[in-house]
Amino acid sequence: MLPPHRPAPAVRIGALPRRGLFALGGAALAVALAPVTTRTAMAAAAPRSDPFTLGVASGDPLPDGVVLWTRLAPRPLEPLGGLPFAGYPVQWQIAADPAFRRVVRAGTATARAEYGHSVHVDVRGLRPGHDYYYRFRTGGHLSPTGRTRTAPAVSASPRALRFAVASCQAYTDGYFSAYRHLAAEDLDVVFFLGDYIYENAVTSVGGNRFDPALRLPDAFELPVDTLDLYRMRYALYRSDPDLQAAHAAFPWVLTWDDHEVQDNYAAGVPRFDIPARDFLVQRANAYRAYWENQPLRRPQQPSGAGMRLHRRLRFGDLAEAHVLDTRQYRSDQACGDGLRAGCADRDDPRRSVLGDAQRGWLLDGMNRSGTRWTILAQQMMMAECRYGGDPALLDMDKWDGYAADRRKVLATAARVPGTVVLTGDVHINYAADLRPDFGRPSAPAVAVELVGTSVSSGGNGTDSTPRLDQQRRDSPHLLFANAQRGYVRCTLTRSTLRADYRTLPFVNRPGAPITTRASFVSDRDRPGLSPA
Amino acid sequence: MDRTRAHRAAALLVIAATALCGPAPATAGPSRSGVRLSVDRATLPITGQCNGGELRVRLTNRGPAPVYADAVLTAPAALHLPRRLISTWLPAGYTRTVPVAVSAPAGTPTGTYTVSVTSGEHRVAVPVVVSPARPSADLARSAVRVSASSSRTGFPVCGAVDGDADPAHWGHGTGWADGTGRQWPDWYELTWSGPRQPARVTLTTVGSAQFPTARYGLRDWDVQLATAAGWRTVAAVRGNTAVTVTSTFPRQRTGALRIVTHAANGLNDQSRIVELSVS
Repeated sequence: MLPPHRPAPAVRIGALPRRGLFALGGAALAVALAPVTTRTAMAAAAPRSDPFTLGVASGDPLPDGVVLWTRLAPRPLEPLGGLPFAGYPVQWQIAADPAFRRVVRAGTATARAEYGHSVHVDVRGLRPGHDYYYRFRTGGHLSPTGRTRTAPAVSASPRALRFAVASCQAYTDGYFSAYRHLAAEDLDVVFFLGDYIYENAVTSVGGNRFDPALRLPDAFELPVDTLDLYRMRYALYRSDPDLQAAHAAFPWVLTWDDHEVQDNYAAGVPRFDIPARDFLVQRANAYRAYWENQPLRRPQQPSGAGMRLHRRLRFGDLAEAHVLDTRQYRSDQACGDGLRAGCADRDDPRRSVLGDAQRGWLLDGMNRSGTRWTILAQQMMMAECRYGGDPALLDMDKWDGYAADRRKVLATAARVPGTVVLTGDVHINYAADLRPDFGRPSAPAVAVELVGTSVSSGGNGTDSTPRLDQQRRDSPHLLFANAQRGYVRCTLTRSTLRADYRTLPFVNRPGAPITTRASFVSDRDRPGLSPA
Repeated sequence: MDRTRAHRAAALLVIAATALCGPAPATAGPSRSGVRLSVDRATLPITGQCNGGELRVRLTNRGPAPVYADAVLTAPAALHLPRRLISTWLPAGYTRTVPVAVSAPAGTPTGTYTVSVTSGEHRVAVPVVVSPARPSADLARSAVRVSASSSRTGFPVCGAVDGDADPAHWGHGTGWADGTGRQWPDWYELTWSGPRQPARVTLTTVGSAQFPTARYGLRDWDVQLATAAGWRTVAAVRGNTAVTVTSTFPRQRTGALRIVTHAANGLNDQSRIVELSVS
């Protein structure tokens, strides 16, 4: 039962709340990422209305810990969520049971205005491979309960890892029904591969959602380039109940693509005609809002226009996930971006999609990991993807535009059994075998790629299109193509990968059912996808 | 301003002075005074919903290190600002300029209002003078309220009554397009402060090399007037292929006029009105 609303008296940091509901269980060993400092003016009273309108989330599971996240926003569509420039103490608990009878860690963090009233708690001291339940409280308000799961011990030999792959959730393109179904799956973790928000304008009815009850203020029609507007955009997205359900169900591991900043940007090069220095300021604002609004640790916190998002997460000896950032360090798109045929620059070894440092980090990590499987959680389609013509048109924004980097990654994958590339970006489901030379379909595959469709971007979609049919004919390594919305559900066992492509018939209204459109398996030691 | 509002405003300024322009906690911050605030317009004359103006708020970091800075805009409820907060990263020596549109909803009493912009210890007050709309032979220009079933970003309702009927300017904020796409009908409405007596409506849709009428232009619409019994259709256009169409009808008193659109040519996706004039 929820506690009654109770305006908090003067702030007492770390004070035990009333009714014993949040009694501290065990030592509060968690590291609050936003500790109280003398600079933070504390609010005299708790928010009057429910500040947990944006839900809760957890992410980046480790064997002994996980990041817990929430953000206070009693009026989520207003600047700063309707709160003043003041901090609020937020108590948190994590328990072994959903009734919170066995609280294992608890503490108090501060939701600071400087961080958009977000809260990041890096909980440690948990048991590996276990389910936990967590919640927050400020004043008399209690958050929804989230469920999370720690990673297996580094030395463990898990029988399986279950995960989903999601990406591209344009609010204006439809409802997030996919997440309602995803939340009901049995998963260890969700990989989100970019385009969490879109920077485009949103009309008062939420674009193609046509929801007259939404009544979005016209601030959502402004070009998003300052921190306050990026924060409001995350608030809009995170107010979606289906997205909240998916965050509350599993820990997420996220990376970004372009729309978290601006469509098709490349490092410091904007797509549109604005000065490079102005764009870097926009990027800094976007990165800051991204960190504030995701369950990420302090090493990921941006410093100005730079943010270290690439990182590794290990799941015992079964799998290691290398989470990549193919936006921040890339060379500008070759031959002016877009679809190009015969573009020689795409092969220039001086051009990189990862940047030298991240590429070295990745290749070194792939060589060293020693796990049964190696997961590359990243944004862009790695398999060659032809768009007709002879020579074929290729998309300069994808790995096709950075062929030298692709060769290096695939050469390493050829020596590392069990490499699986997870991809978002294109709003299409593809199942692809990866070969060092896509022109030689008879050569054995060295890895497999699961390209997951969008959650909503692109609207309802269709099972196939003439272009997809043509691509299948032109590219023997593309074993499946589908342009509906949904996500990919995956299971890794000791020797087999299974991928179920889960699709929805529509997203232009709520309540779509979900079906498994296709399933594929691949053997760890002989990579290559085949229908399950 | 009543005492409560004055008290709130004072409280806000205190908060602003103590809490805004804080440096990024992760970085070594300069003093708050490292950020300088300026606003381009000393005064801002506007005449209502479709004749607003724009302030340009400038934040300059004169300190030696990057900061995250905030500027808060306060204005009486009579004025409409799409944003009341600007937060941005500011590298050392960098100036961020943010335009903020200011308009006055229909029915705003004429007079002088004040928009205050506060950042750290800096505060700039800009008088906003709301004047009556100028008399015009084009009744569309003197509407006190312009509204539509929906609007596409970059194609606001005010764009179709801005006096610019050149189809070549389509896409530059000088026309209206609905926001739904392939959903009909849409409507576009003018409301006056008192009765008018229109007898003639001229509607210009798109028609340029980039946006040919045959592919993007409006095809079918009704002209309706508000009556005591509800909306009454006084003219109908069907199968249009022209850029500009004038409809005439018996002159009559009304407080509002609307265009109800039913179909477009070619793509048949959106309602596109470059300009609407009424006489």
